[in-house]
Amino acid sequence: MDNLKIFGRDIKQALLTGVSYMLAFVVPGGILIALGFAFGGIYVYEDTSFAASLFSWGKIAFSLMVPIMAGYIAFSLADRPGIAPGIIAGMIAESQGSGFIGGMIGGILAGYIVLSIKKVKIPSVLQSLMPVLIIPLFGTIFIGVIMTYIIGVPVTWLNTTMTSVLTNLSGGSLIIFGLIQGAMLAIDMGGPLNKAAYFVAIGMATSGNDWAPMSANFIASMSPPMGIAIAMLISKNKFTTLERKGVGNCIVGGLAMITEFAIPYAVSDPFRVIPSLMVGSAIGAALSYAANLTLQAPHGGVFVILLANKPIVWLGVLAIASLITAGMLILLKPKVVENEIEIEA
Amino acid sequence: MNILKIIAITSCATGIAHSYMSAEALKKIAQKNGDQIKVEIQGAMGIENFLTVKDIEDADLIVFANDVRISKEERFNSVNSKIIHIPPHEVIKRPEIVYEKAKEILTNL
Repeated sequence: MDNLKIFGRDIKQALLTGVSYMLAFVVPGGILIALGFAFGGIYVYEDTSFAASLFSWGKIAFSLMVPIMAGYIAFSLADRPGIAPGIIAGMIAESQGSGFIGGMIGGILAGYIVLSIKKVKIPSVLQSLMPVLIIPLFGTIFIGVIMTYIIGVPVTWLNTTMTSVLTNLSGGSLIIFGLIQGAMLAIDMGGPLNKAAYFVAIGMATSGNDWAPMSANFIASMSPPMGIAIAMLISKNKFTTLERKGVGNCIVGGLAMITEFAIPYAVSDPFRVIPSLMVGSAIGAALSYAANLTLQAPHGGVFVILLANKPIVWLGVLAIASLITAGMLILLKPKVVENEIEIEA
Repeated sequence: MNILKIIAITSCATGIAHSYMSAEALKKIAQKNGDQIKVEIQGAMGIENFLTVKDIEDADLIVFANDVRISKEERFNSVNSKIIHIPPHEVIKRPEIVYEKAKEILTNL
Protein backbone atom coordinates (compact mmCIF):
# COMPACT_ATOMS: atom_id res chain seq x y z
CA MET A 1 0.00 0.00 0.00
CA ASP A 2 2.79 2.37 0.91
CA ASN A 3 4.54 1.56 -2.34
CA LEU A 4 1.40 2.33 -4.26
CA LYS A 5 1.13 5.65 -2.49
CA ILE A 6 4.72 6.56 -3.33
CA PHE A 7 4.13 5.48 -6.93
CA GLY A 8 1.06 7.73 -7.09
CA ARG A 9 2.99 10.64 -5.64
CA ASP A 10 5.86 10.13 -8.10
CA ILE A 11 3.50 10.07 -11.08
CA LYS A 12 1.60 13.13 -9.92
CA GLN A 13 4.80 15.02 -9.27
CA ALA A 14 6.15 13.95 -12.66
CA LEU A 15 3.06 15.17 -14.52
CA LEU A 16 3.09 18.49 -12.69
CA THR A 17 6.81 18.89 -13.36
CA GLY A 18 6.23 18.27 -17.07
CA VAL A 19 3.40 20.79 -17.19
CA SER A 20 5.42 23.28 -15.20
CA TYR A 21 8.33 23.34 -17.65
CA MET A 22 5.97 23.22 -20.62
CA LEU A 23 3.95 26.31 -19.71
CA ALA A 24 6.67 28.72 -20.82
CA PHE A 25 6.39 27.28 -24.35
CA VAL A 26 2.61 27.47 -24.49
CA VAL A 27 2.38 31.21 -24.09
CA PRO A 28 4.80 32.43 -26.79
CA GLY A 29 3.52 29.67 -29.09
CA GLY A 30 -0.11 30.65 -28.86
CA ILE A 31 0.43 34.39 -28.90
CA LEU A 32 2.90 34.42 -31.80
CA ILE A 33 0.57 32.27 -33.91
CA ALA A 34 -2.28 34.64 -33.15
CA LEU A 35 -0.13 37.70 -33.95
CA GLY A 36 0.95 36.05 -37.19
CA PHE A 37 -2.69 35.64 -38.19
CA ALA A 38 -3.54 39.12 -37.01
CA PHE A 39 -0.86 40.85 -39.11
CA GLY A 40 -0.62 38.43 -42.00
CA GLY A 41 -4.17 37.25 -42.56
CA ILE A 42 -5.43 33.68 -42.54
CA TYR A 43 -3.02 32.49 -45.24
CA VAL A 44 0.00 33.83 -43.38
CA TYR A 45 1.82 30.49 -43.58
CA GLU A 46 2.10 30.82 -47.38
CA ASP A 47 3.77 34.18 -46.90
CA THR A 48 7.36 35.36 -46.45
CA SER A 49 6.62 38.50 -44.42
CA PHE A 50 7.60 39.26 -40.84
CA ALA A 51 4.13 38.14 -39.82
CA ALA A 52 4.88 34.78 -41.42
CA SER A 53 8.07 34.56 -39.36
CA LEU A 54 6.14 35.32 -36.17
CA PHE A 55 3.71 32.59 -37.13
CA SER A 56 6.46 30.06 -37.79
CA TRP A 57 8.22 30.81 -34.49
CA GLY A 58 4.92 30.33 -32.72
CA LYS A 59 4.43 27.02 -34.52
CA ILE A 60 7.88 25.89 -33.43
CA ALA A 61 7.18 26.83 -29.81
CA PHE A 62 3.90 24.92 -29.98
CA SER A 63 5.47 21.83 -31.49
CA LEU A 64 7.96 21.77 -28.61
CA MET A 65 5.21 21.67 -25.98
CA VAL A 66 4.62 17.93 -25.93
CA PRO A 67 8.32 17.02 -26.24
CA ILE A 68 9.30 19.35 -23.38
CA MET A 69 6.47 18.07 -21.22
CA ALA A 70 7.44 14.43 -21.87
CA GLY A 71 11.11 15.22 -21.30
CA TYR A 72 10.51 16.78 -17.90
CA ILE A 73 8.08 14.06 -16.88
CA ALA A 74 10.91 11.60 -17.48
CA PHE A 75 13.37 13.95 -15.76
CA SER A 76 11.18 14.03 -12.67
CA LEU A 77 11.15 10.23 -12.49
CA ALA A 78 14.68 9.35 -13.58
CA ASP A 79 16.65 12.55 -13.08
CA ARG A 80 18.97 13.95 -15.71
CA PRO A 81 19.37 10.82 -17.88
CA GLY A 82 15.60 10.78 -18.34
CA ILE A 83 15.54 14.02 -20.32
CA ALA A 84 16.78 12.75 -23.70
CA PRO A 85 14.59 9.63 -24.01
CA GLY A 86 11.67 11.65 -22.61
CA ILE A 87 11.98 14.46 -25.15
CA ILE A 88 12.36 11.92 -27.93
CA ALA A 89 9.23 10.10 -26.73
CA GLY A 90 7.37 13.42 -26.79
CA MET A 91 8.65 14.19 -30.28
CA ILE A 92 7.40 10.80 -31.47
CA ALA A 93 4.00 11.53 -29.89
CA GLU A 94 3.98 14.93 -31.60
CA SER A 95 4.79 13.50 -35.03
CA GLN A 96 2.50 10.47 -34.86
CA GLY A 97 -0.43 12.56 -33.66
CA SER A 98 -0.97 10.97 -30.27
CA GLY A 99 -0.62 14.44 -28.78
CA PHE A 100 -0.72 15.20 -25.08
CA ILE A 101 -1.97 11.81 -24.01
CA GLY A 102 0.77 10.12 -26.02
CA GLY A 103 3.34 12.53 -24.61
CA MET A 104 2.27 11.90 -21.03
CA ILE A 105 2.35 8.15 -21.38
CA GLY A 106 5.61 8.36 -23.31
CA GLY A 107 7.28 10.55 -20.71
CA ILE A 108 6.24 8.28 -17.84
CA LEU A 109 7.40 5.15 -19.67
CA ALA A 110 10.67 6.80 -20.69
CA GLY A 111 11.28 7.69 -17.04
CA TYR A 112 10.75 4.15 -15.82
CA ILE A 113 12.73 2.66 -18.69
CA VAL A 114 15.70 4.84 -17.78
CA LEU A 115 15.31 3.94 -14.11
CA SER A 116 15.45 0.25 -14.94
CA ILE A 117 18.44 0.63 -17.25
CA LYS A 118 20.22 2.46 -14.42
CA LYS A 119 19.81 -0.63 -12.26
CA VAL A 120 21.56 -2.94 -14.72
CA LYS A 121 24.92 -4.03 -13.31
CA ILE A 122 27.85 -3.41 -15.63
CA PRO A 123 31.60 -3.72 -15.03
CA SER A 124 32.93 -0.60 -13.34
CA VAL A 125 35.34 0.17 -16.20
CA LEU A 126 32.32 0.60 -18.42
CA GLN A 127 30.44 2.68 -15.86
CA SER A 128 31.14 5.95 -17.64
CA LEU A 129 29.47 4.59 -20.74
CA MET A 130 26.17 4.42 -18.87
CA PRO A 131 25.13 8.08 -19.11
CA VAL A 132 26.79 8.89 -22.42
CA LEU A 133 25.99 5.80 -24.45
CA ILE A 134 23.91 3.06 -22.88
CA ILE A 135 21.01 5.03 -21.39
CA PRO A 136 20.45 7.45 -24.28
CA LEU A 137 20.80 4.74 -26.91
CA PHE A 138 18.83 1.90 -25.35
CA GLY A 139 16.39 4.25 -23.65
CA THR A 140 15.56 5.70 -27.05
CA ILE A 141 15.30 2.31 -28.74
CA PHE A 142 12.97 0.92 -26.06
CA ILE A 143 10.76 3.97 -25.89
CA GLY A 144 10.74 4.21 -29.68
CA VAL A 145 9.51 0.64 -30.06
CA ILE A 146 6.83 1.16 -27.42
CA MET A 147 5.65 4.47 -28.79
CA THR A 148 5.63 3.49 -32.44
CA TYR A 149 4.45 -0.11 -32.36
CA ILE A 150 2.51 -0.57 -29.13
CA ILE A 151 0.81 2.53 -27.82
CA GLY A 152 1.10 4.72 -30.91
CA VAL A 153 -1.85 3.34 -32.84
CA PRO A 154 -4.51 3.19 -30.10
CA VAL A 155 -3.51 6.47 -28.47
CA THR A 156 -3.36 8.30 -31.79
CA TRP A 157 -6.82 6.95 -32.58
CA LEU A 158 -8.08 8.05 -29.18
CA ASN A 159 -6.54 11.50 -29.58
CA THR A 160 -7.85 12.19 -33.07
CA THR A 161 -11.31 10.79 -32.29
CA MET A 162 -11.57 12.88 -29.15
CA THR A 163 -10.47 16.01 -31.00
CA SER A 164 -12.88 15.48 -33.88
CA VAL A 165 -15.80 14.64 -31.58
CA LEU A 166 -15.14 17.75 -29.53
CA THR A 167 -14.63 20.03 -32.55
CA ASN A 168 -17.82 18.76 -34.16
CA LEU A 169 -19.98 19.35 -31.13
CA SER A 170 -22.67 21.89 -31.85
CA GLY A 171 -25.78 23.45 -30.41
CA GLY A 172 -27.03 21.89 -27.19
CA SER A 173 -24.20 19.43 -26.77
CA LEU A 174 -21.71 22.27 -27.09
CA ILE A 175 -23.47 24.12 -24.29
CA ILE A 176 -23.37 21.02 -22.10
CA PHE A 177 -19.70 20.63 -22.90
CA GLY A 178 -19.21 24.25 -21.85
CA LEU A 179 -21.04 23.70 -18.56
CA ILE A 180 -18.85 20.69 -17.72
CA GLN A 181 -15.67 22.44 -18.84
CA GLY A 182 -16.46 25.54 -16.77
CA ALA A 183 -17.36 23.54 -13.68
CA MET A 184 -14.15 21.51 -13.95
CA LEU A 185 -12.05 24.64 -14.28
CA ALA A 186 -13.57 26.13 -11.14
CA ILE A 187 -13.86 23.10 -8.89
CA ASP A 188 -10.24 22.85 -7.82
CA MET A 189 -8.94 26.26 -8.89
CA GLY A 190 -5.73 25.31 -10.64
CA GLY A 191 -5.57 21.68 -9.47
CA PRO A 192 -5.62 18.47 -11.53
CA LEU A 193 -9.23 18.75 -12.78
CA ASN A 194 -8.62 22.33 -13.83
CA LYS A 195 -5.44 21.30 -15.65
CA ALA A 196 -7.23 18.40 -17.35
CA ALA A 197 -9.87 20.77 -18.72
CA TYR A 198 -7.12 23.19 -19.76
CA PHE A 199 -5.39 20.41 -21.67
CA VAL A 200 -8.52 19.59 -23.62
CA ALA A 201 -8.74 23.24 -24.66
CA ILE A 202 -5.05 23.39 -25.58
CA GLY A 203 -5.32 20.10 -27.44
CA MET A 204 -8.23 21.33 -29.52
CA ALA A 205 -6.44 24.57 -30.30
CA THR A 206 -3.27 22.81 -31.42
CA SER A 207 -4.64 19.73 -33.18
CA GLY A 208 -8.00 21.06 -34.34
CA ASN A 209 -7.17 24.76 -34.66
CA ASP A 210 -10.39 25.39 -32.74
CA TRP A 211 -10.00 28.29 -30.32
CA ALA A 212 -13.54 28.35 -28.94
CA PRO A 213 -12.68 26.07 -25.98
CA MET A 214 -9.81 28.40 -25.09
CA SER A 215 -12.16 31.37 -24.91
CA ALA A 216 -14.43 29.39 -22.57
CA ASN A 217 -11.36 28.40 -20.59
CA PHE A 218 -10.34 32.02 -20.12
CA ILE A 219 -13.75 33.10 -18.89
CA ALA A 220 -14.19 30.17 -16.52
CA SER A 221 -10.69 30.62 -15.08
CA MET A 222 -10.97 34.36 -14.61
CA SER A 223 -14.47 34.58 -13.17
CA PRO A 224 -13.74 32.87 -9.79
CA PRO A 225 -11.34 35.50 -8.40
CA MET A 226 -13.24 38.29 -10.20
CA GLY A 227 -16.54 37.10 -8.74
CA ILE A 228 -15.11 36.91 -5.24
CA ALA A 229 -13.71 40.43 -5.58
CA ILE A 230 -17.08 41.76 -6.73
CA ALA A 231 -18.88 39.96 -3.89
CA MET A 232 -16.48 41.50 -1.39
CA LEU A 233 -17.04 44.98 -2.78
CA ILE A 234 -20.82 44.67 -2.80
CA SER A 235 -21.42 42.79 0.40
CA LYS A 236 -18.75 43.68 2.92
CA ASN A 237 -20.37 42.01 5.90
CA LYS A 238 -20.10 38.51 4.41
CA PHE A 239 -16.33 38.49 4.49
CA THR A 240 -13.89 39.00 7.33
CA THR A 241 -11.71 42.10 7.44
CA LEU A 242 -8.73 39.93 6.70
CA GLU A 243 -10.43 38.36 3.68
CA ARG A 244 -11.38 41.76 2.33
CA LYS A 245 -7.73 42.85 2.38
CA GLY A 246 -7.31 40.46 -0.55
CA VAL A 247 -9.72 42.29 -2.81
CA GLY A 248 -6.91 43.87 -4.83
CA ASN A 249 -5.19 40.53 -5.22
CA CYS A 250 -8.40 38.95 -6.44
CA ILE A 251 -8.94 41.62 -9.07
CA VAL A 252 -5.37 41.32 -10.35
CA GLY A 253 -5.61 37.52 -10.18
CA GLY A 254 -8.85 37.60 -12.13
CA LEU A 255 -7.53 39.93 -14.80
CA ALA A 256 -4.36 37.89 -15.14
CA MET A 257 -6.22 34.56 -15.21
CA ILE A 258 -4.69 33.13 -12.06
CA THR A 259 -7.58 31.15 -10.59
CA GLU A 260 -5.42 30.22 -7.60
CA PHE A 261 -6.22 33.52 -5.92
CA ALA A 262 -9.66 32.12 -5.16
CA ILE A 263 -8.22 29.30 -3.07
CA PRO A 264 -8.01 30.97 0.36
CA TYR A 265 -11.69 31.90 0.14
CA ALA A 266 -12.72 28.44 -0.96
CA VAL A 267 -10.66 26.87 1.81
CA SER A 268 -12.26 28.93 4.54
CA ASP A 269 -15.79 28.07 3.41
CA PRO A 270 -15.64 25.29 0.79
CA PHE A 271 -19.27 24.17 0.69
CA ARG A 272 -20.59 27.61 -0.12
CA VAL A 273 -17.72 29.08 -2.13
CA ILE A 274 -16.80 26.22 -4.46
CA PRO A 275 -20.36 25.65 -5.78
CA SER A 276 -20.71 29.39 -6.34
CA LEU A 277 -17.51 29.48 -8.37
CA MET A 278 -18.56 26.42 -10.34
CA VAL A 279 -21.95 27.86 -11.28
CA GLY A 280 -20.46 31.17 -12.47
CA SER A 281 -17.70 29.46 -14.45
CA ALA A 282 -20.01 26.84 -15.97
CA ILE A 283 -22.47 29.44 -17.19
CA GLY A 284 -19.64 31.68 -18.41
CA ALA A 285 -18.07 28.86 -20.43
CA ALA A 286 -21.42 27.83 -21.89
CA LEU A 287 -22.20 31.43 -22.87
CA SER A 288 -18.81 31.69 -24.53
CA TYR A 289 -19.81 28.82 -26.85
CA ALA A 290 -23.31 30.17 -27.31
CA ALA A 291 -21.87 33.49 -28.49
CA ASN A 292 -19.36 31.72 -30.78
CA LEU A 293 -16.43 33.36 -29.05
CA THR A 294 -12.85 32.39 -29.77
CA LEU A 295 -9.64 33.59 -28.21
CA GLN A 296 -6.34 32.77 -29.87
CA ALA A 297 -4.05 32.70 -26.87
CA PRO A 298 -3.37 29.97 -24.36
CA HIS A 299 -2.91 32.23 -21.31
CA GLY A 300 -2.59 35.87 -20.38
CA GLY A 301 -6.00 36.94 -19.10
CA VAL A 302 -7.34 40.31 -20.07
CA PHE A 303 -3.97 41.37 -21.45
CA VAL A 304 -4.50 39.31 -24.60
CA ILE A 305 -8.12 40.27 -25.09
CA LEU A 306 -7.45 41.77 -28.52
CA LEU A 307 -6.87 38.24 -29.75
CA ALA A 308 -10.53 37.44 -29.13
CA ASN A 309 -12.79 37.45 -32.18
CA LYS A 310 -15.30 39.77 -30.46
CA PRO A 311 -13.52 41.52 -27.57
CA ILE A 312 -16.53 43.54 -26.39
CA VAL A 313 -18.92 40.57 -26.30
CA TRP A 314 -16.16 38.60 -24.67
CA LEU A 315 -15.80 41.16 -21.86
CA GLY A 316 -19.57 41.11 -21.47
CA VAL A 317 -19.62 37.34 -20.99
CA LEU A 318 -16.79 37.59 -18.47
CA ALA A 319 -18.75 40.25 -16.59
CA ILE A 320 -21.90 38.09 -16.56
CA ALA A 321 -19.98 35.05 -15.31
CA SER A 322 -18.27 37.08 -12.59
CA LEU A 323 -21.54 38.68 -11.51
CA ILE A 324 -23.23 35.27 -11.29
CA THR A 325 -20.37 34.00 -9.15
CA ALA A 326 -20.63 37.11 -6.96
CA GLY A 327 -24.40 36.78 -6.71
CA MET A 328 -24.17 33.14 -5.68
CA LEU A 329 -21.59 34.00 -3.03
CA ILE A 330 -23.66 36.80 -1.57
CA LEU A 331 -26.73 34.58 -1.60
CA LEU A 332 -25.09 31.57 0.03
CA LYS A 333 -22.64 33.08 2.47
CA PRO A 334 -23.91 34.06 5.93
CA LYS A 335 -22.91 37.29 7.62
CA VAL A 336 -19.65 36.86 9.45
CA VAL A 337 -19.42 37.51 13.12
CA GLU A 338 -16.19 39.46 13.32
CA ASN A 339 -13.35 38.00 15.43
CA GLU A 340 -14.84 34.55 15.05
CA ILE A 341 -12.91 33.48 11.99
CA GLU A 342 -9.23 33.93 11.43
CA ILE A 343 -8.42 32.78 7.95
CA GLU A 344 -5.47 34.17 6.05
CA ALA A 345 -6.44 35.69 2.77
CA MET B 1 11.68 24.73 24.05
CA ASN B 2 14.65 25.81 21.95
CA ILE B 3 14.26 27.93 18.88
CA LEU B 4 14.13 25.62 15.90
CA LYS B 5 15.97 26.25 12.67
CA ILE B 6 13.57 25.34 9.90
CA ILE B 7 14.29 25.42 6.18
CA ALA B 8 11.81 24.75 3.44
CA ILE B 9 11.42 24.49 -0.31
CA THR B 10 8.17 25.34 -2.08
CA SER B 11 7.18 24.75 -5.69
CA CYS B 12 4.03 24.40 -7.79
CA ALA B 13 3.05 23.68 -11.37
CA THR B 14 2.59 27.24 -12.61
CA GLY B 15 5.30 28.53 -10.31
CA ILE B 16 3.55 31.83 -9.66
CA ALA B 17 0.86 31.24 -7.07
CA HIS B 18 1.06 28.25 -4.74
CA SER B 19 4.85 28.44 -4.45
CA TYR B 20 4.65 31.92 -2.98
CA MET B 21 1.49 31.38 -0.98
CA SER B 22 2.85 28.30 0.75
CA ALA B 23 6.15 30.09 1.44
CA GLU B 24 4.17 32.87 3.13
CA ALA B 25 2.15 30.37 5.16
CA LEU B 26 5.31 28.60 6.32
CA LYS B 27 6.92 31.85 7.41
CA LYS B 28 3.85 32.86 9.35
CA ILE B 29 3.44 29.60 11.22
CA ALA B 30 7.14 29.52 12.11
CA GLN B 31 7.01 33.09 13.33
CA LYS B 32 3.97 32.27 15.43
CA ASN B 33 5.87 29.44 17.09
CA GLY B 34 8.92 31.65 17.59
CA ASP B 35 11.12 29.58 15.29
CA GLN B 36 13.60 30.64 12.62
CA ILE B 37 12.78 29.82 9.03
CA LYS B 38 14.31 30.26 5.60
CA VAL B 39 12.24 29.33 2.57
CA GLU B 40 13.62 28.65 -0.88
CA ILE B 41 11.07 29.17 -3.64
CA GLN B 42 11.44 27.15 -6.82
CA GLY B 43 8.96 28.95 -9.01
CA ALA B 44 8.67 30.02 -12.61
CA MET B 45 11.63 32.38 -12.19
CA GLY B 46 13.92 29.56 -11.09
CA ILE B 47 15.38 29.34 -7.59
CA GLU B 48 14.85 32.26 -5.24
CA ASN B 49 16.45 32.54 -1.80
CA PHE B 50 18.83 29.63 -2.38
CA LEU B 51 19.48 27.38 0.62
CA THR B 52 23.23 27.10 1.17
CA VAL B 53 25.17 24.12 2.42
CA LYS B 54 25.41 25.82 5.80
CA ASP B 55 21.66 26.44 5.96
CA ILE B 56 21.08 22.77 5.27
CA GLU B 57 23.68 21.54 7.78
CA ASP B 58 22.31 23.74 10.54
CA ALA B 59 18.65 22.93 9.97
CA ASP B 60 16.65 21.04 12.59
CA LEU B 61 13.75 20.46 10.29
CA ILE B 62 13.38 20.51 6.50
CA VAL B 63 10.01 20.95 4.85
CA PHE B 64 9.49 20.01 1.19
CA ALA B 65 6.26 21.59 0.02
CA ASN B 66 6.63 20.73 -3.64
CA ASP B 67 4.33 19.75 -6.49
CA VAL B 68 7.16 19.92 -8.98
CA ARG B 69 10.36 17.92 -8.67
CA ILE B 70 12.89 19.77 -6.55
CA SER B 71 15.96 21.06 -8.37
CA LYS B 72 19.37 20.47 -6.88
CA GLU B 73 17.91 17.90 -4.54
CA GLU B 74 21.33 16.30 -4.02
CA ARG B 75 22.09 19.08 -1.51
CA PHE B 76 19.84 17.23 0.92
CA ASN B 77 21.27 13.74 0.55
CA SER B 78 23.00 13.75 3.93
CA VAL B 79 20.03 15.07 5.90
CA ASN B 80 17.28 12.82 4.58
CA SER B 81 15.96 11.95 8.02
CA LYS B 82 15.02 15.55 8.74
CA ILE B 83 12.79 15.99 5.70
CA ILE B 84 9.01 16.03 5.78
CA HIS B 85 6.86 16.17 2.64
CA ILE B 86 3.66 18.19 2.55
CA PRO B 87 1.88 19.31 -0.63
CA PRO B 88 1.85 23.13 -0.95
CA HIS B 89 -1.96 23.43 -0.98
CA GLU B 90 -2.14 21.62 2.36
CA VAL B 91 0.39 24.01 3.82
CA ILE B 92 -1.71 26.94 2.63
CA LYS B 93 -4.90 25.37 3.92
CA ARG B 94 -3.62 24.47 7.36
CA PRO B 95 -0.07 25.57 8.19
CA GLU B 96 -0.14 23.84 11.62
CA ILE B 97 0.19 20.55 9.77
CA VAL B 98 3.92 21.29 9.54
CA TYR B 99 4.39 20.95 13.29
CA GLU B 100 2.06 17.98 13.54
CA LYS B 101 3.96 16.10 10.87
CA ALA B 102 7.31 17.13 12.32
CA LYS B 103 6.64 15.76 15.79
CA GLU B 104 8.55 12.56 15.22
CA ILE B 105 11.63 14.33 13.94
CA LEU B 106 11.49 16.96 16.67
CA THR B 107 11.23 14.48 19.54
CA ASN B 108 14.45 12.84 18.35
CA LEU B 109 16.37 16.06 18.59
